Amino acid sequence: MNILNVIFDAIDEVNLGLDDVKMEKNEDTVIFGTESVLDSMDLVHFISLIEEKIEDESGNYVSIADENAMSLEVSPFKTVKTLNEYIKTLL
Amino acid sequence: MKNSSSEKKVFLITGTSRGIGRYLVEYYLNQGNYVVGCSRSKSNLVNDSYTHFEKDVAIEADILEIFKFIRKQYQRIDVLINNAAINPKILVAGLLSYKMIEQTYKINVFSPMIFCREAIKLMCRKKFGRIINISSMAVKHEVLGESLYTSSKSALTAYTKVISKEINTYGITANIIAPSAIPTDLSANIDQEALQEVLSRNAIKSLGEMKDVSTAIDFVISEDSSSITGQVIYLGGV
Repeated sequence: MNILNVIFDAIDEVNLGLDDVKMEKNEDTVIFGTESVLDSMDLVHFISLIEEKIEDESGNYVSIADENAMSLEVSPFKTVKTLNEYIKTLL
Repeated sequence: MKNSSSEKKVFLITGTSRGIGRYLVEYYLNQGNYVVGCSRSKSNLVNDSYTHFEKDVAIEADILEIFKFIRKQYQRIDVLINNAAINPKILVAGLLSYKMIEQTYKINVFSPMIFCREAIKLMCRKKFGRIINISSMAVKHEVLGESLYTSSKSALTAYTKVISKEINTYGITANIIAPSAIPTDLSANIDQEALQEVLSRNAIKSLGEMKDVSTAIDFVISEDSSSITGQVIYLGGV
């Protein structure tokens, strides 16, 4: 499974619901924080889409926003790249 | 929420083997909806639109299995009703065991929080959802010996009010329905003399009815009730 493609698919879906500024599909895109185009609920939606796509492809449910993710010094939700790397550690 | 077959809503109701939960399952099935329910025991309710899970709501993995089914079967959830709860024996705070406290909070607080978390993720997709958390008149009456149950329901109330502010941009509302005492197995465990004393504080001093609960829920889950969120609706004139 190509996780980056899964994330990009989720970006496409999230962008459908964003009014003006859209998420860019590249590894440097900021996911959460002041530089992100997502608010907190958009982030929930984005994460749930990724979890769902992973489950569809692998048959296994993976919780991305787990205790480990929240405790890491560098948040997995910083950029697309950090998220991609973090999800790979979960699979 | 009465529906034609083409627009059936998907309900998830916890604690559905008996009492209010069982009543709500039958009520919303009769309205033409799909209902998923759960309890620690089996259900004898047979209906093509009803799926029952024999699960422990205090266990996160059990809750996730229910949502896995809903994602696959329906790809959405319209209404979540967190009804499952335990009402421990009336006992002064100085005698409460850690185990009693832990178990009560697991079922009355932690479990609805996990159900809400997973439901919110699913509701995001459709930009629509209605969350109902069932509380109790005990929160208002602050009855001696009920510190454990009351504090757990107060926690659920505060939680619901906060999440209502987080989720409204996605068309999701969250409200509390707090029934008066209704004849169920749960209320049967309460000291009847103490129950009558508490009921005497209400405008309506008799036991409530199941339909009081469904009427209040119908109001807040209506698609027209999009601006009614973060509210606590006490029944029985509390």
